[in-house]
Amino acid sequence: MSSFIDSMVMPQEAECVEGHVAYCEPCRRQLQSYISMRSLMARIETPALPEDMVLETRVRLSQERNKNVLVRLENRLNYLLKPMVVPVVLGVSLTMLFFGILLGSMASNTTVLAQDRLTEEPVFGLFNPVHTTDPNWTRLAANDKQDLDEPLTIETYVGNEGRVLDYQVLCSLHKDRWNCPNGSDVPESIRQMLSLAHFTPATQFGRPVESRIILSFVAVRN
Amino acid sequence: MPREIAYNWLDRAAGQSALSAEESLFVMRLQANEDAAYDELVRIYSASIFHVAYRMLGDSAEASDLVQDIFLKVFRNIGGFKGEAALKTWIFRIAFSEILNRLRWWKRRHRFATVSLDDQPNGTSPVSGRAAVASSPTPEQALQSKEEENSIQQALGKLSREHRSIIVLRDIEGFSYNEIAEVLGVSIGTVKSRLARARADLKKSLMRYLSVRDLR
Repeated sequence: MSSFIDSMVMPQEAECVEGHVAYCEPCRRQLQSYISMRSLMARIETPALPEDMVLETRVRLSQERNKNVLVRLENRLNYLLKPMVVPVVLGVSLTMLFFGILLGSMASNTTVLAQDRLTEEPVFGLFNPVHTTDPNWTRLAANDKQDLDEPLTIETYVGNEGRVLDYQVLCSLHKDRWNCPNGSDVPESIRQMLSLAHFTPATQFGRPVESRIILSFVAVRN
Repeated sequence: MPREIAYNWLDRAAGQSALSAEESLFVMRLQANEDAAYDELVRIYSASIFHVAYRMLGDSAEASDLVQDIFLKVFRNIGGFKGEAALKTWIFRIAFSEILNRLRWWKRRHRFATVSLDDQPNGTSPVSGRAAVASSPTPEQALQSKEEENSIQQALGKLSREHRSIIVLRDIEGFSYNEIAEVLGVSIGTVKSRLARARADLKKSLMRYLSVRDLR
């Protein structure tokens, strides 16, 4: 009966008990008394906890846990270091970021200056082209006396001081045919002009760099 | 129906043998000596352990001291807990071990298993400090309830330690048969037979203190 009221019997056993108590008055009364007693026990008031029992338990437990010197030291380190973790990590991260940006910008300038200036395109777009206010070029453009019969295109290599280092004839039109020799057909006046010309050099990040300019001379006939 | 005590997420269905993921994590935190984990352990289990200790010992002050000893023992042994049983049953196994040791100690010093509630040194009993109920009982109801409580406690005191343990765990605290078997370290069959005999004995004891009509 005890297991029956807790539903801890097999179905066949439960049927057997139910069938028996249906016609057996003493057994039915006994079953009911067990059920009543169980209800009585379940209704029993829970005793109130003594005051400070939980607090005293925590204190004793804490004292016991900290008895071990190593545990105490570990707890002390945790208390000291835990509040500092976030600020330290943040500080280190920001410092690394700052120096990373700083070194990166310094390295990029060096890279630009060390680059193969005559064959490669500039890495960055901060490039001010070469320009000139040299009056000789104006005079050349306005000169009536032309010793240039045909159009001429010259590629000129200008150093970081603004002086022409070298030049190369790209193409010239001769007898209705485009020729692309190497420097032999440049008129004397233009050669002198190139040797004396002073350009404001191109700059990258404010630093003068070597550059190339393409000069096209077009013959003007009256 | 027996009152089922809820232990929030640490409850386990009867028959499960492995720790749940949450339980495993909680045990790891206890084994790592985490402050918050031990605070949570005391918060969850202190009341239920006190109730069981009080029902077994019949003395509020003794039960309170024993609760502290039990938690200390849990702390000292948590490193050896391998998850072979649920944390709840493992803790109550320790609790019952300590309770039975205390009862044996009392017996050796000729101290009765229960102390008369009229002899409380502070002049009060835990019953008088019961938690407030939603509706205030009438004086007659309060008196009847107190008398009933006293009678039950007296009747429990007359039972043997084994019978008292099983009645407290099953009928008062609402443990399942499997949990009782794990706590007491016996088989389910032993739980059934022991519970049947315990209820029969309790019924005889209660009939001395309560009228027959109360058991119908």
